[in-house]
Amino acid sequence: MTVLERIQSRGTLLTHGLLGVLFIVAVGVVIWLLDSVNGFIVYQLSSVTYIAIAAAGLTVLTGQNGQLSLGHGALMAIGAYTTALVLKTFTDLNPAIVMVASILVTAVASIVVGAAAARLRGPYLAGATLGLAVGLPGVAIRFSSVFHGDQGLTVPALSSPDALSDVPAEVWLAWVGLIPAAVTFVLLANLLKTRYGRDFRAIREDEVASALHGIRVSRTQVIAFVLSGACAGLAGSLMAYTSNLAAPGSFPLTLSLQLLAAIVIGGLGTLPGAVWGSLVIVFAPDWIGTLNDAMKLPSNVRDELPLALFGVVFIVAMLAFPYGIQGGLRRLIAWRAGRRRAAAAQA
Amino acid sequence: MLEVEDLRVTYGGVTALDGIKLSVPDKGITAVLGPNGAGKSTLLKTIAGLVKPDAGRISFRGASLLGVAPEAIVRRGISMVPEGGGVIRELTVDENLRVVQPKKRQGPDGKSAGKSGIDEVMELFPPLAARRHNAAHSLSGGERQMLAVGRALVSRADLLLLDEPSLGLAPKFVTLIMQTVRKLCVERNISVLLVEQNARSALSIADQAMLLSAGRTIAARAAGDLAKNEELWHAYLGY
Repeated sequence: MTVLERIQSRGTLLTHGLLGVLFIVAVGVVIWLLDSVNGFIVYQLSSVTYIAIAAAGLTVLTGQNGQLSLGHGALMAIGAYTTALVLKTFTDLNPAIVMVASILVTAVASIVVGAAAARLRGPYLAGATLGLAVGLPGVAIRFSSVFHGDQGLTVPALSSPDALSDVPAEVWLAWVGLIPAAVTFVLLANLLKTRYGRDFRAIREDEVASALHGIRVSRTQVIAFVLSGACAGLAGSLMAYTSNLAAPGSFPLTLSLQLLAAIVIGGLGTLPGAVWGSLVIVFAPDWIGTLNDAMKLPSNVRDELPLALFGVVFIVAMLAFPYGIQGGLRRLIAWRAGRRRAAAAQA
Repeated sequence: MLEVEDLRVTYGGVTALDGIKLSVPDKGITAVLGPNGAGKSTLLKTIAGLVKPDAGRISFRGASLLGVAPEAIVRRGISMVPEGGGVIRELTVDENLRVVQPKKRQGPDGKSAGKSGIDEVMELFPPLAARRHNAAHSLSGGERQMLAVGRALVSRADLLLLDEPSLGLAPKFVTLIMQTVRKLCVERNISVLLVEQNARSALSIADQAMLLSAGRTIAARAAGDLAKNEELWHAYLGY
């Protein structure tokens, strides 16, 4: 029995947990090495950590449970504002406690949204969550005495502990982001293997048949929404730490749409897909911008082209990989395994 | 076990059931026969909680089922197999059965007896065992019905509502399904309410039968008696 098999026999949570720790260490080292080459990429990677957390939550809700949400940007805003308000009162509070507070507040808000969502289907659900994405940032402007309107609330920068004072700020930020991201993915991967994961997928497939299977459909849908909202809250909290700000302008409708684009392009309903999609969402605009600048086009074309190119990248990606990047990778692996079997059969 | 009285159901003004009375005993098979549009499926859907009646009473072991959600009715021990089986297509055979598996079933010896329900189904239906980890959408119609009946078994249902299990099946599978239903009924004291257009195969295994037409009960008697009544056959079942 190999070491891996021995660990696997002890249970899924342990296996995933160990993989998570390995992942943190490996990526942490990569970030450390990368910083001396390009500090901006490290800063972008910390954006990937929170986008990936939100995308993971959304892929469970939309991909696994079949509830479409166009409002996850607004749920991220709740997490970010919670972080800002908590830190305003308790300046030096441990980030872990602040993040847990943001998760809890967003989860409670998600109960309300989720209970409404469980009564809505298809386009109506999309419309209602769209309203949330458009409307919620307005709350910050309406109650500007608490939320400081358009200016938003500042969030103090994360400082590395004295023992690690040599670590650059952006590296420390990315490291701090890695831990909640890994914890989120481990817990979600585990949950999808349990009764809840099965119930989520059963409901996505057929609500009437699920009810005849004894699944409490509405309750399970609310659970999926709250779980997904909690992830968005954590992502919002990390985003506030990363940008040192919680402001309405950080949570436009496009943020919600980008999250949705991330899970679709990554591979709907798969957790690795949420990571691939987040990498694309964070890095593609930058690369497109570089390409655009290099082409030396007249300014009126240059200003409008990046968004169009972003769209072209998506269309081409979906034509090439209809099941997203993760689906494409799976097909590649299956194809290679098939070739190896064929070669073995010949020999 | 199940008592239905004066049940009336309308769909947007059209009467589907018009004062049905039905009594299902603790064990045995009760067949509900009738032509297309007689209200047979509506009757099952109403009992399962999928359709809300306009009037009437439904009680299961003395407790009313009116206003109870479909998933709660399943938990009370009634399992419905809708037309086509109602399996969850994207889940595997194994997962379909796990969904209905009670969370922690304490056996008489205090041990969890959860897994055995699924294994029993695999023994009962060998074709399913071979497909255990295949998605349910890849099953044939017969295998799908086996899975649906297996689901009722795993959920430890006391009353099984079967809607046209023979629809679209090869005769070989119709026989297998009917024989299994009969066997379960005898060996496990399960009561079955069987809706069928295929009156002959239904009557061959049923203990009692009722004949529906246009939402009304035309006849309710022992299955053997109904099988012999040529007048009713000609008038309502078109043989």
